[in-house]
Amino acid sequence: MGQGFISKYILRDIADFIRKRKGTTAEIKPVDMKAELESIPTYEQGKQAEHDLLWGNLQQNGKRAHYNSAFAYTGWNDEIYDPIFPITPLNSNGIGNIFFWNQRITDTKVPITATGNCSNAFANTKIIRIPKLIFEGATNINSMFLNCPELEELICEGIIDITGIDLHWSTKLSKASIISIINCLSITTSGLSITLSKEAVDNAFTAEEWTALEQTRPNWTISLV
Amino acid sequence: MNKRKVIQANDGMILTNGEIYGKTVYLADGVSDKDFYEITEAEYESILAAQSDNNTEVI
Repeated sequence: MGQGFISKYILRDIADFIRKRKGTTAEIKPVDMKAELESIPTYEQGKQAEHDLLWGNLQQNGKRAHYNSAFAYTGWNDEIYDPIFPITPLNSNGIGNIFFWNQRITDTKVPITATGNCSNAFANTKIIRIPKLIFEGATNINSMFLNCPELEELICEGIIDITGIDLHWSTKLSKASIISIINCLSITTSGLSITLSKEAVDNAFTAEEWTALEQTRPNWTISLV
Repeated sequence: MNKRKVIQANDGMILTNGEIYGKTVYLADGVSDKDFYEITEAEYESILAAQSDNNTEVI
């Protein structure tokens, strides 16, 4: 069986195409062309690489100092907001105003560490899901959840040892969320209080279940609105 | 375990001690119900509105 030949000009064009796509000037042998073509990133791979490059810079590869107002107001939405690292600020400016008045993000997606100043972090948002919020050295949690009427999932870890949590706007808060919040309340402090939605508590718990839960924190005043 | 004291506001009212607000308040150890008094829900909404004024939207 005879073998066909490919014109050297066509091979040159293929080699040029490969070099251009890979950003190289290296010589490419015909025998290597198939492998070289297959190694060129696809559009989706390129898109992902650009995405990761952007978020790596934005989050300083997970070591960003603080996220004060980082995703506040109108610019960010669920599609564009897509962090690749947990949000773990390194200094006391913490996560203050991080999503303040943003009405277009509904899912915070990655774990967030509530440290330092956390005031207004989720205030006036339409957030539905905060899958993991880790309280670790928060110094100010005033108005953190002010006017969060759509919040359903708020799974907390760590220790809450200052006052300022008011979730009475969050009438859809799930049972698991409320349990996680109560379990985070410090057992060693005194004189502190937390406010929850009465509607959320009544929907989530039987009277016996709620009594059993609230009695785990007799050192906290718990108010239901 | 001893049950803590729980205070309930009358219909249409909110309990407060000036800092804590609630229709039902589960008092912590050492917190007295004598510190709490009732305000109307309208008064409570006014307080919340004033609080929100300090969190105004900027576009």
